[in-house]
Amino acid sequence: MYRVQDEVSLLRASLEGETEAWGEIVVRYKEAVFGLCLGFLRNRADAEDITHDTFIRAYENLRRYRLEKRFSTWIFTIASNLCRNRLRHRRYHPVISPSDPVSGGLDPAAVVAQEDRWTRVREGLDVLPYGYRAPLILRYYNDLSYREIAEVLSLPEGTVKTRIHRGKVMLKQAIEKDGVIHYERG
Amino acid sequence: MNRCIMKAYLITFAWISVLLLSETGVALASQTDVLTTLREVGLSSATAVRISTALELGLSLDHLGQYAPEEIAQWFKVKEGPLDDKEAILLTITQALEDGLPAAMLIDKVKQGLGQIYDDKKNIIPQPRHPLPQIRHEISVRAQLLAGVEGLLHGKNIFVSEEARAGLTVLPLRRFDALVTNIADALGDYLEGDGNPYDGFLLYQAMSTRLRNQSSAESVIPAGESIIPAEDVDLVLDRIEPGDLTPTVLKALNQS
Amino acid sequence: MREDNLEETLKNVLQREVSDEAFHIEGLEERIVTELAGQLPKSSPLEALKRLLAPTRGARLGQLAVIGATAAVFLVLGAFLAGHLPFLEGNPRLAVTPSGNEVLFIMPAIGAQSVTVVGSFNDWEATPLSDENGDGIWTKSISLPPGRYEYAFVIDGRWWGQDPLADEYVRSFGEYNSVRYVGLAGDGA
Repeated sequence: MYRVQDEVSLLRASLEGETEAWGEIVVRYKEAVFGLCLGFLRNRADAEDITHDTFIRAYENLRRYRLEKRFSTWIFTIASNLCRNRLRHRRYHPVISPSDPVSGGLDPAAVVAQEDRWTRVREGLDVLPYGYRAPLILRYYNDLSYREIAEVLSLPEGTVKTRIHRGKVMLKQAIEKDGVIHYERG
Repeated sequence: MNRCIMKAYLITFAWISVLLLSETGVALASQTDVLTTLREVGLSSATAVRISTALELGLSLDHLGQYAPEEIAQWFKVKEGPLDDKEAILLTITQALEDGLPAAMLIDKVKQGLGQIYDDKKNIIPQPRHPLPQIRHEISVRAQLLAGVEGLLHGKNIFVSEEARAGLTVLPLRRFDALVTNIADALGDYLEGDGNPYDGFLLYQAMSTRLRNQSSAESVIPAGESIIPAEDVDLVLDRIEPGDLTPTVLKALNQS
Repeated sequence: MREDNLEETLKNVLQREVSDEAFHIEGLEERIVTELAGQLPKSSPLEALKRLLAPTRGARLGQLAVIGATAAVFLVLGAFLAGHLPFLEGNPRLAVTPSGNEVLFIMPAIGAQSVTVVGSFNDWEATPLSDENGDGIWTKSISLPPGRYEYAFVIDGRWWGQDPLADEYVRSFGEYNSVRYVGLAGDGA
């Protein structure tokens, strides 16, 4: 692990050409960026590519980063733009395969029911239009505020709120289509 | 015709100017050159007159971009290809100009498509870089997008006019044209990059990214010269919804 | 435990997806550090070329196949170039001189007879790049007002639409064009 711990020092060191410091930044953010890309693109290989590209691109453009902006928002913006570019050049092809069932001490029937729900949520996300999916991912995976999501996606904040609300309604409809799960209203 | 008063007025005025000049025999020298060149391309006199008149109209409304009518006509004389394709391309531009649309984007695309190819001795050879039918199809889609985007902005109460009327947002012609051009071009690029026309949100992102980037780039221009100020970007992004774009794009694809 | 809350389920599903696939990004930091350390100085044209040649750019593979044989040479030239063009350091995507929007177009093309740039700024008519010292690095500086410009290089008649220094790429007539926003501040990715 890199000797310097605080983020600002790591970024300054990275700017001065200490690539090891950038490596520490990668360690801290790679899962969040990968999750964003996986959520946006619904394709593991593409997500892996774009995660890699995001950190290279961010390093190249580090001089453009301003400390008054949250670093996470900045790097998510880069990742989001790269995802968008990738989507522009290919049609959406969901390829994520269902995961293995969770093992452990749970009641097998409960495990099956939970897996079924989760699979349906995944499938719902796969078919959700990108414009609804992206804000949902940023909200519920990356834990961003509405304002930060608006910044990352270049959208008005009101639009972000509307899309998150509508996205959840659409997701719920997609999940409930076969009458399997009943979620809370709203 | 869902066209605003001021824009219609400007177009009418430009038309009358062009026609008067022609009628009184004081036709601009350039228009005569254009007519001659278009006839040499092989077009009928009636078609040549229509095209040259529209090009003059476009010139007067600053809708030809950096190109002049005579050079546009000259391209079609120099480049080899089927006459009906040449005519169709020119008429697509003509129709857009007659409708008062900012056709500079179409003309630039045509110029790119025709290209410049050289032989071993560095002489320009007459083949277009891309086949004329491909150019014809490409600008047909983009012309429909221009019309569609203009209609969409009108539908959102964004017009060109100096007359403030209740409920209307009015922009100077140049700024309105810049919005139409950039939105249509961004949507055209999206489609050409195999984008899905049914994904309204990707279309919306293509539009918003283009407008924001263009506006940011221009923000370094001294005050007053920017043709896409941030306020216009905000206006468009507030009024246009992702769901508005798919119908606009599908209509353009169907009509092209 | 039954989850009745869509938001909680969504969070769990997303976290689960990532944790299931996270092994694919194990060691990413080492790969990135190695990649960056191998590109000196930072933000050099070499790095831009490396981006072009990286295996992750699926969309560029067709074009890369055509020039695969010269790619390695380009990398070497990029390293050489990095030492020769210090003014490129800092912002490889858009070289703007203090006096205005002087945009540098640069293309390594060893053995080429002619390299030109065509774009919306020159009516898609060829502006030649020069290689005065014969090192295979062709350059041309063009003054452009702020705005968006589409362009491509033409190397011995062959279209090269993916400039590693571009802000974005678009497709036109089935080929790629590069795009630069001159005067753009911010990410612009």
